[in-house]
Amino acid sequence: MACTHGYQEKIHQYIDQEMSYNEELTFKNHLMNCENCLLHFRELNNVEKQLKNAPAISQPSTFKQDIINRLPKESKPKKFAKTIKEHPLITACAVFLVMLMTSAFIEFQSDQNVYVSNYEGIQVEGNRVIVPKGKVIHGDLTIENAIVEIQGHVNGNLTLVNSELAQTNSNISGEIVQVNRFFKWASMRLSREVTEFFQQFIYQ
Amino acid sequence: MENEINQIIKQVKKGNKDAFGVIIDAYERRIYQHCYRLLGSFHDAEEVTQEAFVKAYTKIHTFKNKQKFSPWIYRIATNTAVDWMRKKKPLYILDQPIAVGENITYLDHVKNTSETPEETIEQKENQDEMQQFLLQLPSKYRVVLVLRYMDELSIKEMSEVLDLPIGTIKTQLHRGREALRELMHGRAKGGQ
Ligand SMILES: [Zn+2]
Ligand SMILES: [Zn+2]
Repeated sequence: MACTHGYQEKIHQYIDQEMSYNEELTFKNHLMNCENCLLHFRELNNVEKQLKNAPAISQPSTFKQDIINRLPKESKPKKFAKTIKEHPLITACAVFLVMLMTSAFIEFQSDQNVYVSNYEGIQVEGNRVIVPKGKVIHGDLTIENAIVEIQGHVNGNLTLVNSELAQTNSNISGEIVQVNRFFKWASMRLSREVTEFFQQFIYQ
Repeated sequence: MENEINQIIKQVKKGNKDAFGVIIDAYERRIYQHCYRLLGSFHDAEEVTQEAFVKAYTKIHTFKNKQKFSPWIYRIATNTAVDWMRKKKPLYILDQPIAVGENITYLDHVKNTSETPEETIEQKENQDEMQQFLLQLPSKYRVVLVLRYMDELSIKEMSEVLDLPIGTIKTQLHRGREALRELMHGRAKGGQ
């Protein structure tokens, strides 16, 4: 006769040690009085024991080399695609920097010509840029790729990019900033571009 | 252990196959045993183990570094084994016992007396009585019993492997043991 006391599930709970002390007492009490449950319990207990005692299966030999030989060869574009997938933000930043540096370098190379930010009252002779005697330049002055002679006066900061000062009569009321190397020039550009780049987000 | 494995996986993700070799060293015995218990054939277990590791390598980028690795690899192995059972069904039936509670398979029937090395292996396979019972169970019960008792995973780990709630895992485990009891003791649930 089947037990009608709903103890089937309890047997599993007991085997899985999920009973409180009181539940366990009630359960054991029932087993002592219900032949059917006792038999059921013994059988399940035996099943559990045999499952636990099943022999470990040992591997005949390692398959390591076979597995490694079967691994697919990776193509570079796929790796790149994976990086993008995993780190979208870092990738975006890296792409941005590469593009920026590339365009900056192209600009740098095409920027080998003499450049003066304000030509008013300034003489340019070949690669020489001269502020003549008696002339006063109002405001900041930036000069690129030139030899600079200040005989007059600069009423502001003087920025020299890839340029040298041939004659200093300390006729400059502001600071003299020298930017000579590409990377310095680039970093100056970079800080400006990055600021603009982030301003896009701030002002959006 | 899991921590070191996660470090190694970072290398694997960069395409380092030697790092993947370390993963194989650490898990192949367990995965092989798991596959053998599910499939009941040494040859199939070898094939499925290899396939599971190759899949793990190609899918390594879906593994998140905060995850635990062993449920992840068991999951791939289990799915590969279950697919294998479906594909190989006609042949696979030959290894199944003819009747409930008997250890004679269809293969034993057609076998003649001369013993080939293949047959020696099969005999070895048949020596494990528990394996014969496991193979008669529906695969969903076989999977939970193997994960719990042969692979010795916790209920929580099993719920990660099978992507099922803990309550469901417990119910499946109870039903699996019940089904096994009926096979081993030849008695229907609750009846005489
Ligand atoms: Zn009763
Ligand atoms: Zn009872």
